[in-house]
Amino acid sequence: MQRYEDVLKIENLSKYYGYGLLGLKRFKALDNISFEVSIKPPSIFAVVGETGSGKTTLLRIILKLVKPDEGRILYRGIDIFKSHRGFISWYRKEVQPIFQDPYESFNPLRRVDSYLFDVAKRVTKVDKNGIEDYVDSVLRYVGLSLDKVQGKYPHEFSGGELQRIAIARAIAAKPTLILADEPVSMLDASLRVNILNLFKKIKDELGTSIIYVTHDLATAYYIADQIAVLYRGSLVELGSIDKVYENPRHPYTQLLLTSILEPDPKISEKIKPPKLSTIELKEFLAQGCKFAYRCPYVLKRCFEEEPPNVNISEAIVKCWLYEKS
Amino acid sequence: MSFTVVLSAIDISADYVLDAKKGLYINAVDSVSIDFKVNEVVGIAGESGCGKSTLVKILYGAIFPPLIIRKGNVYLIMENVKTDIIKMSREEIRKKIWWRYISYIPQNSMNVLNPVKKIKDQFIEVFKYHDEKIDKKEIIRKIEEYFKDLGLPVEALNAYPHQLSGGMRQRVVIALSLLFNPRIVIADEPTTAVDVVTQLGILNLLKNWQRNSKATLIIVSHDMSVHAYMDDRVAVMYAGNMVEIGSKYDIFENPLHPYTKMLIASLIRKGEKKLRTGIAGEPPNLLNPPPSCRFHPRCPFAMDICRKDPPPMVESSDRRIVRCWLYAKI
Repeated sequence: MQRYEDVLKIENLSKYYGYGLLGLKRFKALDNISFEVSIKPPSIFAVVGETGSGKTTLLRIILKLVKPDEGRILYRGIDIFKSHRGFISWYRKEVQPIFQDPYESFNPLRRVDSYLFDVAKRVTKVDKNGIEDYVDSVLRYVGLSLDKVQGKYPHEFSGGELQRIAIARAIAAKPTLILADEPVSMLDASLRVNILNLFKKIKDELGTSIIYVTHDLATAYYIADQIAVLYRGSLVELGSIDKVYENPRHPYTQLLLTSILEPDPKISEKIKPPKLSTIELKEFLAQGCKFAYRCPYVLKRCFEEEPPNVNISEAIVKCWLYEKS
Repeated sequence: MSFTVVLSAIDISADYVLDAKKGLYINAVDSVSIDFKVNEVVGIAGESGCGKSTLVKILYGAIFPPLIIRKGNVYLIMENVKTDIIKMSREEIRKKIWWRYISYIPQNSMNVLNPVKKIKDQFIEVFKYHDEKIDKKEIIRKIEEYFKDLGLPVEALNAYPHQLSGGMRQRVVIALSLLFNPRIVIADEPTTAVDVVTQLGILNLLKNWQRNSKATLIIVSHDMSVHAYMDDRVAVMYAGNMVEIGSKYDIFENPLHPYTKMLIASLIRKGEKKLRTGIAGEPPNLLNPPPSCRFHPRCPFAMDICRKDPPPMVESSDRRIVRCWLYAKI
């Protein structure tokens, strides 16, 4: 059990969104989610799920951009939604986001170096020369340098370079936690691995924890320590990445793992075609398990009752198959 | 297996016009030649901006400004008649070739459906456009059967596009493009915006259709795993050039071109934590590409000749082509 100052703790978090005419009907975008991310010692925590699994909603709540309807988030023991004055500016420095599309995270009419100087001014409190040195050192850390970046606008960079600048901007604030939302999905394969290696380096050298949100289990395994699998707003499996990877318990995790395509023609021949969902809303509103419509091992009670969280050897699985009764 | 060529591109170069007065052109495709045969799946791989989408647009005959063709021919061989798509009139291509002979599944195809029309009405519209004079009920019965054949749920026909998930919409668009049983299908990044599970479903839909119809399937994707799963042959592009063509086993297990070698080595495999390295540097700006071999600034094996002369296409006996000085016999 870790001390409360050393973790980001998510407790019974739920978020509803309205739909239909006037938005009076509601569905759960996030359904009673709890987990802990270790900040000391630093860790990389992967949140894996497909489109509409609620992973972006979860990130927005952690960033304090959206309020949850139920539950709370404790950042080093402080409830981020019941905080006093002065907390927000501290929290905004402590927790830094990196988004999927680097071209959308920078204003196209603003020079990119100005973002770095703004952050540096707030964090370092030194004179002008000192700031330039600081910005240069941060850029060198991600494999660029100030003279390559100075005076340029976002469109003058390639996607890979701009994503490095976004990472430089995030680490310039000396954060304790970085939230990375699909940071490599827009990049080409040959550049992707460089960015992932950079995340590993940030964790090991700077001691910054990273929540890595992705739909790609292969890259999650490459860098992460812990993993949470989301499906239609429910957390279906949680545990250390090695355990979940070697022995996936939940049928959805199993399906995800067997559907990953690999850059190897031999393994690809063994893959079996999956069962696809047709209408998403039906699954969101499902009474029992949300995966029941696609699950190969479905039981009668899966449609009727919500599955329990079952603890098996340091992992948590939300599935009726593992309930002993 | 038959090796009859159905589509043949010979030495194509194409530019995007930025500013004709200042002479600013983006050289998106440079001297590309490739043949496509009956009953094969050919993948076109490469990073964003390498010209793969431009190449398939030219193969499809969709040449619209600012895209201009500098040189080259695209021969379509239908019933032993050879026609040059580039020289055909737009109207002729639209009525005779598109949908019936070649189909094109565009990028982000999940967003091409008309949002205010039911799926079945969109199918009926396609029939009307091609002057198929059949009764409406007959068409619906036909489409229902067709959906069953492709393994799509028939209820989707009565839905509006927004009621379907992204993967389902994508499958509907694919079904539309296969409606007249074309001989050549070009799929431009068919699965980039969908999840892994949906991706596999869509690829299987295409694969099964191809196996049954013995047509030619051309798949454009930046994702090498898609190529490993789908292709018979892979063509790798870099900065507008075709750098290597070979069977998928050759490309993945014994790549020849330095770019392909480094690309394959950078790919993360499932269940692996071994540290991998990407390719240093960035792809060149095609407004002003490096002279001769376009990969030489990033290539660890670059020689003097790579900076001086464009590399030759070296063809070995087993239909394998690599565009590199390392393999040239001088």
